[in-house]
Amino acid sequence: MATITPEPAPQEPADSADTPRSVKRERLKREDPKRSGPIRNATTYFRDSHSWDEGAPDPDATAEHSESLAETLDDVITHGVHLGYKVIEEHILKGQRAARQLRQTRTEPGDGDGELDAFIEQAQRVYQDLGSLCFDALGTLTRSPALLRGLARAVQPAARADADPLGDARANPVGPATRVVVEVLSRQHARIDLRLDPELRTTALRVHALHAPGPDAPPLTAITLRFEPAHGTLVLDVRIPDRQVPGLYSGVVVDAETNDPAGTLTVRVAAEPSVP
Amino acid sequence: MPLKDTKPIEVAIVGGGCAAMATAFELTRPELEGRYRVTVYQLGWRLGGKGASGRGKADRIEEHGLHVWLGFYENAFRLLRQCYRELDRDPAACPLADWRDAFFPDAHVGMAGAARQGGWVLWSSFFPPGKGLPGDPLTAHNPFALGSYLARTAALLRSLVLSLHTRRKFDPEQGVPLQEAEADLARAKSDKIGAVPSADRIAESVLRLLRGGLMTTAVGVIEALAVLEAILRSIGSCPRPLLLQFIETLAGNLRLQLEGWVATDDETRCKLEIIDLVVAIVVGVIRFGLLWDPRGLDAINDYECREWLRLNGASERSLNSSFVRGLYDLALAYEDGDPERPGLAAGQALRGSLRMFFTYRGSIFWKMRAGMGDVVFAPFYEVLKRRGVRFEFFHRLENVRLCDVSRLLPGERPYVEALEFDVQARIRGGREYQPLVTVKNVPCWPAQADFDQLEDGDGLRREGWDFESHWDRRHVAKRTLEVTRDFDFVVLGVSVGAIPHVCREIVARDERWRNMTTQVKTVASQACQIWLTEEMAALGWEEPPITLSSFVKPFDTWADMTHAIAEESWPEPPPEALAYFCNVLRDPEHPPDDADTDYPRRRAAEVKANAVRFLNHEIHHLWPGAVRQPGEFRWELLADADRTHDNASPADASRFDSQYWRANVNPTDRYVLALPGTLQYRISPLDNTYDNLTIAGDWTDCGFNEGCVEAAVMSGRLAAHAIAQTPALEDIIGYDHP
Repeated sequence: MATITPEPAPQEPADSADTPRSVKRERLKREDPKRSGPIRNATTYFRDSHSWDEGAPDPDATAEHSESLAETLDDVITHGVHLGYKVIEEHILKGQRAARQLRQTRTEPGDGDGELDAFIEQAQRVYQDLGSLCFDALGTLTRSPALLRGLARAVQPAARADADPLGDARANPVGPATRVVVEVLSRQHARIDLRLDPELRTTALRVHALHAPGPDAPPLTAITLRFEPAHGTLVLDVRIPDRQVPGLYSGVVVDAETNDPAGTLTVRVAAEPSVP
Repeated sequence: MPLKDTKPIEVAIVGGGCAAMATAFELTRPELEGRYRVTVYQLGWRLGGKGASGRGKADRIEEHGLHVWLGFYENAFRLLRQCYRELDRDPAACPLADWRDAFFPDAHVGMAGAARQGGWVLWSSFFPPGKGLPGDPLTAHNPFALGSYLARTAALLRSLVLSLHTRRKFDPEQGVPLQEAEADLARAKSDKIGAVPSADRIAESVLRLLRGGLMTTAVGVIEALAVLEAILRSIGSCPRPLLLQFIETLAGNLRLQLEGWVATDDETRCKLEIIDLVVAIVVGVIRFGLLWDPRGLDAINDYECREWLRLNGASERSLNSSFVRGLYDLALAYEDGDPERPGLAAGQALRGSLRMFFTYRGSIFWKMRAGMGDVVFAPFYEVLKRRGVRFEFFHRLENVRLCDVSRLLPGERPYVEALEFDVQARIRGGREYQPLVTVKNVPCWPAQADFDQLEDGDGLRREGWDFESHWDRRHVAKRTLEVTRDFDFVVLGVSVGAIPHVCREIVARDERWRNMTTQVKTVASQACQIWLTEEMAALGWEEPPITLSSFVKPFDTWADMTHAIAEESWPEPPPEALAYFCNVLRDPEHPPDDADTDYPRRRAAEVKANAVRFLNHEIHHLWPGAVRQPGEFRWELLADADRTHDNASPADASRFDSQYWRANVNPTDRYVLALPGTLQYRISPLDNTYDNLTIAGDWTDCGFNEGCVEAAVMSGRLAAHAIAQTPALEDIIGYDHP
């Protein structure tokens, strides 16, 4: 709601004599909004739209979402393999028909040569395009460690990697209770908004440079996000250069190992306290 | 403290368009218990802004242009549905009692393209019904993720192309419809493709298409996209380098295949163009890292849409296709109204296209049963009146006066000290102006002010006062509203075209506002409506009623609005058909001076001349039966509301005077553009530089930065949030769209 300030009301101007008078009162000011722009970043992958509901949010939505994730991944494999088999089967059938036609063509010289050539050419194209496409697709799927990890996660949510260089971080997944300490070094007022994927299972995180919407403002690059196992906290360190162009800077937080999106960070750098 | 025990906060809303009405509607919701007391200050006699309509002679509906609501206008439909619910009209007494009475689905979208051998090819695409209705509560997972869109792009493209229906209508060389198109259309309809098809269906489709003849390869391309869809469904888990490698390999394969094709007919050519464009979009989204960019699609807004598609491999033929031109036409995306200067920011164009094709509910288009004023603004007016909103018509904003900044305390923000208006007319007896008229039991807006309610109304009418003309500055008084006395907060809901005229102080001192007014450009538009004495089929149009774009200038967009005749009051026999046309109107090299009072008349005369020429020389491509021969329109087809058939006006071009046309050249009527490299200059309604002022309109930075009803409503809701912190930003649907 609007806040009431103690500022005295201005005097009535002389040119408003035809306006009905009402009692003057203190001037109201709008509150600063919690944010001043859309969140367009990768968190939309994770976000459900409960806020769109006119009624209460569905308490089972999280569970449903997890199930749908597993179903989606399952669908991908099933779909791809099924389609691959069908296409290959069709090509085999076409090959058999081609062989039959070839035999007939040899017994009846000159008859149907054009059609056969066209068919062979077409079959080659289909093999080249659809065939390689399907195998590329399946190959990509099977080579994708992230996908395999996602599948493993969907099947066995508690699965955890063995010792690795990011062991501390992996052993301490971010959760609702994870404390975040924010350290800001700036001469200008700044508002920080860090949003992490609630499903995140690592604290090995990295922040990419934060960009303003306009092309002229230099990005904020001196930003780190590190995990301190001794305190079980994430420490966000933000350094804003002097005379940084005011505005909203936003960037993505990623899994330091896989580069998968893990959340977003926005920093609103205020203008110098002056009148435009 | 209960809200009802506090003194209401006074909110002055200037303007009466979609954004302003949305703000008023949000701030006066019953849940807020009268916390905000709203007064709307409106130029002239009617609400609606660019969506205003009026009833003219024979109660004809006269619009500013062609208005069709898209099936993804979630915010707009939600508010309007709530409005109708609250209005609670009696169906027995009013034919437009429910929003479903007021809107009906239109699943046919048409495009016109130049035929290979001369003439025009007309395409009619049938878009199958989308699940649910626009404005329904959304309980599903958020569909607004680019990965999801891309998967749907691959899947839905197939249905789009299959449903493309072409005929070479009256092509001078061919003259024969293509029968095979009928079969394709029938198959597409029977498939009922609308959602992502199942794996079995796709596989089955691949087999069917592989068994075909030469077409196998073309449609096989589309089916190959099904595999792409499978990949894209896992996009959140697939590392970017691998994905990029895959996509580019796929694109290379597809384009090799396309190059082997020789488009022997227009239908095949169109299919190939669309495939080419979709491949370019998919490649571009991955290549530009848009799936991971915190700016979402805004990251490519400095690129012109065609330029960005070209960078990602789209062919020149595809970039000049009727499909692309149609998107530009629907967005009036021509800088200065020059057809040679199309301009659309790539990110917003992509966002708009994705929303339009993939998130519509019910139907891709929704048409209004009557005028937009009748269907939208009269219900809002009535509901807001009931809630206690006051409407001050005939108020032209002249100046937004800022405080004396030298008196501000350190850290204090500047604010609006006063609003200065010209009062265009006073109401007789100091009464309240009653703006609506009733036509066939529907409350409507008249096409002119009701001079009988105005002081010296006869004199004003005789002198031809034009209350909506920027160039008619006549007024009967001045009025100044002051902060704390007359208002606490201001919502500036006028068009961006008016900002330089009414916010001179702000523009002079504030670089951001100055940049906004110079960079966020607008375009004039032209519109005409013609009532016809023969039905469309008799004129040669045998398709269902359609909304068609990418046709020839000066009127590249046509909508069949025959349904609206039933809402009008024609003498017997009524017209058999009604057509609306619209397009941009090229700006003069030098903007008109404010003293050039004849400017609107000259531009209107230009529109009339354009329309007459268009009917004589171009309309036969759509309606071959409307001409005796090309160059000779059958003027007797035009229905004249003032004359019966026995007393008909001459059957020559002068009969066009009985129709309706207009040039939308007023600053408040101009359509806002989304030109590349300009969207970052828009200012958000949430901006708090002036702490008692917010802005509202489709020209603001509202999350969907393109001129349309949905953008205006989103902006209006944001303006309400800026003042009252309600609605929640998460409830403004699509605000956080990538």
